[in-house]
Amino acid sequence: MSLAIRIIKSGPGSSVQDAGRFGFQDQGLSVGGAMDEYASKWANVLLNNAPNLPLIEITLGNFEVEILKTVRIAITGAHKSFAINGQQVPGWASYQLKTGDRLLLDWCSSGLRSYLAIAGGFELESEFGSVSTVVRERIGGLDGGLLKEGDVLPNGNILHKHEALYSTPLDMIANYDVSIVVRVILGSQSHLFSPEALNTFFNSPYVISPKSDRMGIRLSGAIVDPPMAGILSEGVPFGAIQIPPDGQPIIMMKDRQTLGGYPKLGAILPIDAFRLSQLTAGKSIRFSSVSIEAAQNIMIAQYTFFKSTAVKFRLEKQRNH
Amino acid sequence: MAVSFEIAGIDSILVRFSDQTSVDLLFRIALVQQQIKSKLTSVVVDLIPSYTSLLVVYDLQKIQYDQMQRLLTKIIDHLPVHEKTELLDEIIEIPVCYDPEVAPDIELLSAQTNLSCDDIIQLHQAIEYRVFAVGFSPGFGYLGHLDKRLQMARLATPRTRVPAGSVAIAEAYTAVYPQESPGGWWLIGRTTLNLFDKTRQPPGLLSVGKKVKFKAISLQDYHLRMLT
Repeated sequence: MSLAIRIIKSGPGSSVQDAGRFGFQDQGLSVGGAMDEYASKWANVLLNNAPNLPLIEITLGNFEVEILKTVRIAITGAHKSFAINGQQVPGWASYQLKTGDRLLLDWCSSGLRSYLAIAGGFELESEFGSVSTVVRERIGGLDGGLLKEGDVLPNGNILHKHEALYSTPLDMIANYDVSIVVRVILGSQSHLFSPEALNTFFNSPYVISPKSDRMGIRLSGAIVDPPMAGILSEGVPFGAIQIPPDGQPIIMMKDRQTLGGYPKLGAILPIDAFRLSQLTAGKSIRFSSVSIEAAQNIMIAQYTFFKSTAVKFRLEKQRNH
Repeated sequence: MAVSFEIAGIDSILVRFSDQTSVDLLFRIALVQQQIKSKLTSVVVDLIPSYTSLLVVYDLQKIQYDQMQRLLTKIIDHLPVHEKTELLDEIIEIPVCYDPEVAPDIELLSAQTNLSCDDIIQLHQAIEYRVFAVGFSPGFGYLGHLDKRLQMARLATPRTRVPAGSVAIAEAYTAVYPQESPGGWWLIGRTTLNLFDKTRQPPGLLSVGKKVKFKAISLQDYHLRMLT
């Protein structure tokens, strides 16, 4: 372990994240974790890291670091390109950097979040088994807060000596400019909603509200009549679709509170939630439904992909980018 | 009402035990939680008990919905009948200073309920509460049920900053804010007890089903305890 980067410009919302904090929701602790796991896992596997090693989630950009040692890094997510010592290079790729190098992510022009991963992962003391920052709880990261100018982060030991540099195949790089259909696993109080309410929900476009954040993506559009104003608070899973009395859906994301008192229609498919977390305010989405069996098969395939040699095979072919 | 299972999300089942809250039900939920912890630890990621339900988050890479529901059914159908959940016998005593200096809403509450401040303090201390849910923020417990005479709707305008340790009431519940946070409950006292300490194991003092009592302390005693 040794110091790897120093933050020069922190941007408006950069934080350390990993897969999240599990096993403490009964104490009221939020899960946290990378909002877009598809992009964050790619950043790690481009370095031959395990898919969930700690990395930096950069919201919107305006983020600059100074490199403090020879190290490999990868950038994925909203930044299709970024600068190394003033030279523009493509994102969704890994690079070898040396002491004194500067890495700059400008304001992003599409999407919201990018990931900076480092070979060996950023090494911080974990709290409750995770380094994920949940600012509201002052837990995780360096001091429970967002990264700020001057912060210095060390990286962990590199287990697999791999000097090769990789990039994500073009057909697997997410495009955050296109409108998406978000798949919904019906459940929770969905059986209590009227057929008209369900019909409205599945047949109307919804627009991402600027009030969205790491806790929830707020949508505006046709009013979905909830069957009741509130319920006895119960555990809220990732991607849950809450319908408050105003009928405007809220999708519960990584920093959600553990309990919620609004009726729910079910939850969205996590890979669609990852995409949703990249959509800027004003973008429009639609909903469709998916069975629990199909949804689980899609996600299992996704988890397997990032842990399998399939991903490495795809990478290997890209080594001379 | 029979126990029902609901698909809650990609990797979660909500076990719904009833639509009515009761202390007996809390025992049952706590017992199921304990049994899941001892028997299904390798496939369960998180458990969130509250009021009348238990959210079970499982590891999708190890088990899928149907099989998980079967395992949960088996546990619930074979709950040990006489097993005492010992952890629920322990009483957590919370020292509270009800002096208006640290209880900004107690005088307004007195005016609105036609109860003297002393009556409010008496009524709040008289009940042995149970933890019905933990959430909102780390270590925040919903303790029920308040004496009917103290049950009030939440404040019309929530505070942006409630001091850590504030003892509060709203509707049928009382609670302690473990950290400084926004909040819309009536603040009727302040405790020196740290309800959530990251360095403690477990960090939170409260868990669903546990008993809680409040005990009045003087302002002088409060300040003294704050120093130590």
